[in-house]
Amino acid sequence: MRNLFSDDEQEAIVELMNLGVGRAASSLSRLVQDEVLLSVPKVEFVQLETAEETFKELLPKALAGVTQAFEGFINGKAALIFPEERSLELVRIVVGNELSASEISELEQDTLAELGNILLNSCLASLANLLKREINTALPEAYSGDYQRMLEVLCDQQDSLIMLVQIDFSLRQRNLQGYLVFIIDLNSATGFHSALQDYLADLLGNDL
Amino acid sequence: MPQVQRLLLVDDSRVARLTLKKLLQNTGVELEIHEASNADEALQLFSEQTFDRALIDYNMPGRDGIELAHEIQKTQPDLPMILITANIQDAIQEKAAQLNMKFLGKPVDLEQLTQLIKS
Repeated sequence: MRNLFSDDEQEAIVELMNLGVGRAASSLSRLVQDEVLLSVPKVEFVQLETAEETFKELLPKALAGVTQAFEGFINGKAALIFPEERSLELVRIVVGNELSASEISELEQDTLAELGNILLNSCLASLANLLKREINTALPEAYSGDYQRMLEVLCDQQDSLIMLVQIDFSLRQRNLQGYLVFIIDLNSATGFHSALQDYLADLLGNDL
Repeated sequence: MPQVQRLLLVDDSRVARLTLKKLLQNTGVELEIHEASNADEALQLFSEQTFDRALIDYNMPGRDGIELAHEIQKTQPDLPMILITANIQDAIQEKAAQLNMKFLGKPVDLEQLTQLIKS
């Protein structure tokens, strides 16, 4: 895979995602009243088929979650993913125990969409703020299915060159694991590149 | 502000409205809460009734929260409005400030919400 970014730029991407996801984790922690443990973001520059292998290895068979498209200085889609079998439990944690089972079930899609909206927006907005750029996010869309279905939702162009940013997180007390995935279309990476260069120039300037 | 505030809550997510209503009930302020799930519904309600404050989500189908606030201000320039969103970008906060709207990030903090509702 051709390397579009320098080592410094790649390090900056990991750090920026770390900061963005840190804010998202703090939001999640407040919503579910539990400590959120985060992995270090893993950044890969891949073609679609490599992403498929990664998803197959990483993700549970049945998934539930939310995707959200974004465009601006970077274009792509983000996803919040959970094992489908834990989805209702997560909904109950967010909306509270006072609702009946049928109400919880009725609110499942809406709750996941709102949860995704909060987490993915927290992360993307932090990224835009840190890079002093603007990004527009679409409405969140809840989905369920296997990893292939999810990849279809995330990548609509077969020839996409993508930056796959993968972060695993878990809720300490509930032993519930989830995943955040950002698929960034690098076919139009000029804006991202210049934002990273400005960010690094600022950092280096401050060090002098 | 009257003793019982008539407040319009605009958010396309039913869960977000439920969550916010629960928080609003804990602010200690007497509120009469009305709901709309998009900008058109909100504007319809504004054409029929009066409200003392509006809490508006940013990211909604159709017109977004900033566009809605802009429409509301054409007829009620002094209505206190709060933009509520997980999209905490500086650019969005600036747009809210230009319309004199207060800004609250999601998930909403009860203390901040209470402070804004009492102001």
